[in-house]
Amino acid sequence: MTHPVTEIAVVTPISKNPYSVVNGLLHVFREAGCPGRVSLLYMKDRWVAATLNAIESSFRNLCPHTSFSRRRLHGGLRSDIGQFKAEVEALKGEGYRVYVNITPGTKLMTLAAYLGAVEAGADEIFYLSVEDRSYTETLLPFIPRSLVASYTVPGGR
Amino acid sequence: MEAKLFVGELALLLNPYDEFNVVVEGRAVLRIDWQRAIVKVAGTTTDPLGLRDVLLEAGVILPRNMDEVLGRLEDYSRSPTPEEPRLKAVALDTNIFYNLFLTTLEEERSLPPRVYVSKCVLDEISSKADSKAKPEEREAFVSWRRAAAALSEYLRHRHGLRVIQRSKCHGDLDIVRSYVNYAGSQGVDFLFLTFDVRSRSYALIEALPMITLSTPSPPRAGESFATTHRRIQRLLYTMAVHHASITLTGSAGRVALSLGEYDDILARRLTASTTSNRIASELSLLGRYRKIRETLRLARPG
Repeated sequence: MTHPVTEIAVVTPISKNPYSVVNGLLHVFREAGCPGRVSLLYMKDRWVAATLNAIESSFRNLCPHTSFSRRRLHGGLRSDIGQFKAEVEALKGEGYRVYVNITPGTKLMTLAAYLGAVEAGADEIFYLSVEDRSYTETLLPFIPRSLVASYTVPGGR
Repeated sequence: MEAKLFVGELALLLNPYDEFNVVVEGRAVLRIDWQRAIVKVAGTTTDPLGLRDVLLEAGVILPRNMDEVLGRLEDYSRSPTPEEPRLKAVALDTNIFYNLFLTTLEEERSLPPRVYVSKCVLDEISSKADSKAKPEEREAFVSWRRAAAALSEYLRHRHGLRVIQRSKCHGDLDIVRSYVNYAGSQGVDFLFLTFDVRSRSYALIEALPMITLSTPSPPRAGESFATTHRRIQRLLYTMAVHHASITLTGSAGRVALSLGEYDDILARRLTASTTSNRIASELSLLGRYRKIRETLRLARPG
């Protein structure tokens, strides 16, 4: 069974642990189905290429028609906010309902993602918290439900 | 809908529930609050000792002297010093594997750095696990499944264990003697860990330092135990080891969990069968979730 894509787009920063990114995508999948677009924003690092590939190839096992794009952040809070804002605005301009996952990445990336999402009027901004740290490398459906809290952060539409 | 799930995947099946009953042979034995990770003994149980065993093997209840055990194990985890130059290590009895106690210990703290197991222990477990019994031979069948689960416990932890070879193995006394002989020839101070009073006596006779894990009392009807989600998942496995099949019932529907095949016991993999649409819809995605997990595992950045 192949899940059709929806008019949902996800914008997410990248962290070294791909689970926080993929679990964010699974959270959206479980709420709304396969996203049509996923935009991955990353800082340059030696592990980034492998992580980006892992995120894309793993999630395609569930949603083979989801389209991914990659954007390198230039660094600096103001610039990064602008890049997140531009990404959300572009996707909204294409008619997508845009979810922004502010769980992965450094604190600076999270801040930039949040502020950029608010400025661009993202439809939903969310944060996934797993209470038990022994589950940080566990896929969302295999984590006991009561250990996962999803916060919809104020600022989304 | 039918699917095989590893113990660590059972949350997929359990997450649709807030609470569920565990039913054995038509009788609700346990009531489990999955959201708060609480296990409650339901009604009157006809087999309190059996229930005590499955709860102990799952780590839901612990030996009565657990704090003392952890303290002694810490003593035997220390590296040699100029004041105490002899190497200290822990030696295991067969029942440690039957009670799946290494997994409990690992979850409670961590395994001591030097843990030894006599080949006599492994021979005893594998000879029972290999002598496959028929389901109609009830007692033998339970004994076979428990031995297979004990073997699985060894395989899970084998990388952290050192095996002591021994040519003569005829019962508990030879297990104790294998440790005593090794300690004498290699200059190791062992702490022998056992649940068994007979092995305790042999250790006393052979002057092998030991600590006996004190089996907890059988649970009472209505008694509740706060635990962890991991241990609830283990509990479903240990119940299936003892009873071959159990049923979960709750507002999300009914699921039968069974464990009959040797390879499945070794791999800690249960067969789930359900008519509940909600749970079937979760199970239908199991294969895709596994592929995602496998892709992430293989691509793990250095």
